[in-house]
Amino acid sequence: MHLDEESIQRLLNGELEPSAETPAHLHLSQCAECRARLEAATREEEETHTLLRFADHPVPAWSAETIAARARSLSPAHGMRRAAGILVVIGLAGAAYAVPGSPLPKWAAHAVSWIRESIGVPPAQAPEAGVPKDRGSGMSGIAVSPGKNIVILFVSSQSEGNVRVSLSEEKDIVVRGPSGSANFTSEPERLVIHNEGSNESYEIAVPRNASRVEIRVGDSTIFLKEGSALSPQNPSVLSLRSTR
Amino acid sequence: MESFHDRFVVLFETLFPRIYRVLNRITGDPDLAADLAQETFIRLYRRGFLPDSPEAWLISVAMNLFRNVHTTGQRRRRILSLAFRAPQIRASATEDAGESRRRVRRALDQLSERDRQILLLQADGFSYREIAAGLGLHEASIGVFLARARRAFRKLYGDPDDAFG
Repeated sequence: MHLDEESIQRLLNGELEPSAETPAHLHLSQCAECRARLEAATREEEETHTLLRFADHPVPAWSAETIAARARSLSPAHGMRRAAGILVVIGLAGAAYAVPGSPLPKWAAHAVSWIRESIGVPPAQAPEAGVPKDRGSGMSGIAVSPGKNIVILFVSSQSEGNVRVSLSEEKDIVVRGPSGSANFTSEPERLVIHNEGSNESYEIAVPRNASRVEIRVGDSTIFLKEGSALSPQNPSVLSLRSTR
Repeated sequence: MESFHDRFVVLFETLFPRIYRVLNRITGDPDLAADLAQETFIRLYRRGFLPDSPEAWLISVAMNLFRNVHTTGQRRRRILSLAFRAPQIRASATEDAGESRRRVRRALDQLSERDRQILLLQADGFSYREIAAGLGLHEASIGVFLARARRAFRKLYGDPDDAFG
């Protein structure tokens, strides 16, 4: 049995799993055909990389400070594009998994308000007009698929407030909080809760069969589920206050 | 603890040249590549915290930005003009380099988007895991995709024996 193409490439690029390295090298030592394939692949890669350098141009001599300064001094138009992007994110997330009592319309209204400020358009006389009020318990939320791995990030620690974590039999992660207490953005494998300035408490229901779910406050991990292993083992109520 | 700004600076110095080089090879337009690379890092800075895998995040954002520009036509790629803009110094060596550049450019432009991205990202040292995460592909197949992309590129470039004597 010869090495497959994936293994040849991974050998070439040092990408083989450690457990697969010894068997692969053992096979190479005994198989002239696979050695020849590896040598050919090595040669082709070197030649390709040589050719690709013909397409290169000098890298701009910019410093990180220049880029950081540009990031800090955003033009209104730039801010408008960002807001529009967030609207798209919210729209996509909402279209996929808005739960009853979802805060999405309200967040969208806030973003629209921000866009108006960015481009100098005065706010509408009744900015909340048309936005359904939360008529339930005052709690609202969002549900997202956990996928293989997801990080739920609270951007800021809080001076008060906590997050109640529970395991559920549902398919989706459900995050709930008092209406209007936070904004969020969804990225691949990440749900970001923008809770700056909030002192509210939140609820997160984690599917029991989710592969990996991590909850962070800033850089600190406060909850981790990997398979059936939980840390802490009995999470229940976790503080959102800074531990530093 | 190191601040976000300090970590950004370190990351920028390490990854900006690589992201720029990949974008430059993809677009064939150094000005556009510079704009896209700059915008990618501006977005990272404005994010305020580093992703788990900065490399994958940067790849994903850079490729999305390129796709947006490419598909909306807001900026035109000036693919073949580069060779004509290059200073014509002297005969044979320069002409050979110009011809090689044109052929490389033509081959890259004819590759599928996925093949081009995988080929160029790996050529700049991004790991299979980073490439897979950045492009939304299964990591287990990156080697096969890469081999196919390399073969396609060489075929489109032409007879490799001519290129290497």
